[in-house]
Amino acid sequence: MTSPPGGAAARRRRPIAVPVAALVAATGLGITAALGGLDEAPDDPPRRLGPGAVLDQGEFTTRFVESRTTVRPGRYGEPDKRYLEIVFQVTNKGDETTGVGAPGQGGKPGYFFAGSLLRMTPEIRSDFGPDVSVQADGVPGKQLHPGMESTVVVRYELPEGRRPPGQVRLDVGTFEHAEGFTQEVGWLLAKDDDGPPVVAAQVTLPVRRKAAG
Amino acid sequence: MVRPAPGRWRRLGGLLAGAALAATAVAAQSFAFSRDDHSGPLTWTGGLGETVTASRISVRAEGVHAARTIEAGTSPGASSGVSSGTSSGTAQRATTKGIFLVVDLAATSTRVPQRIAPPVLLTESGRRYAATDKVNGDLTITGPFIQWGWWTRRVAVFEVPPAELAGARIVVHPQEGNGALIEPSAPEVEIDLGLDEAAAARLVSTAKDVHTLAGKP
Repeated sequence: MTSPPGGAAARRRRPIAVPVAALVAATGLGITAALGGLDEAPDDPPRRLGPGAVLDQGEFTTRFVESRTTVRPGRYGEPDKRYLEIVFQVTNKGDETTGVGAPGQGGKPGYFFAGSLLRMTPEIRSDFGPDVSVQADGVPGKQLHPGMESTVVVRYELPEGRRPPGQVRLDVGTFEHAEGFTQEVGWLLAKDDDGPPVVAAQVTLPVRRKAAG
Repeated sequence: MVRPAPGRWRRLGGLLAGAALAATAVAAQSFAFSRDDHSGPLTWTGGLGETVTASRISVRAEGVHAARTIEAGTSPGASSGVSSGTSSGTAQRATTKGIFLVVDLAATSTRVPQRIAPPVLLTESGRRYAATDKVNGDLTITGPFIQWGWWTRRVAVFEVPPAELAGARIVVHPQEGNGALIEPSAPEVEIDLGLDEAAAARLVSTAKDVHTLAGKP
């Protein structure tokens, strides 16, 4: 059987555990604050890309081919219609057929592939937004099939009398695959918490002028 | 009266029994319905040439062709394209970077007239290809009403990379809810097109340059 040694006054220790702990905590807090606090590190700035660049958008691999103007001669005496076209090579990396969709307009979010074109500078406004289609020899389509590369053309009609811009800049987002609790949600635009979609790349494309034809 | 403490063996037996019960409970989870089982359709399966009946519809895949170009009546989606300068009513060509797979389908209804939703091609790799929109839907199986009493023969046309053809199955299902209700456990027919590697390669190598869809444009 052991027993405490010699019952009398063991030398009373100075209490240092609490002050030391407080000092460690304060130092840690100070270092954290000095390094920018507990806030998330800021996102990488958007990549700056030019013509021919390729961006991995999660659901798609996208090559930004070019931007150009086209002219369709007016029929029945109407004035010619002029268009600004942006051309992409899009490969659907997902497992399902999806559509070319449409970019958001006037606060309305876009959908499918073109929904990732978050903003164009300068903006070209029209009542119904641009026409988006898959161009092929023959009939155009609106579908992006898995594992296939498609030429997607986004076509803005230029208002009468407006000169086409010398270049356009696109803010492009990416997609993330979302799993819901009861069912699969599918591909959604990548966002920061509940903020606006993240701009992954800013693509600047010079506008190639095409003679009327 | 004080009960004697359980013996060592008895305690070990209890532990083993508990472990066995826990293991059984975990194993039983593998029999549970998955998410897809709950929300998915009821699928009737069959092979090429067989008549497969799925509650409301009977479907038979009678043949499979491949083509590089489809010639058909105007596609409704084509009018939005500025570059398609041809006037409506003329035959329109559709091309693809992959290959067109044309499946000859025959369908009949077991009870009420109904229409068929755009079919899906399910590939070995698990990808789902929706029927192409480059062909006027009126010329495919989605066009006419499927009636009781006779077989309606139309095609389904898909755009696929040639490498995806082997092992492909076609999934045909009626359009959902005549009353616009969401239908749980909707019926669908899944037909194996019987394309092994060799048959798929033969299909691609003998693909027609132009497949013309019959029917009024």
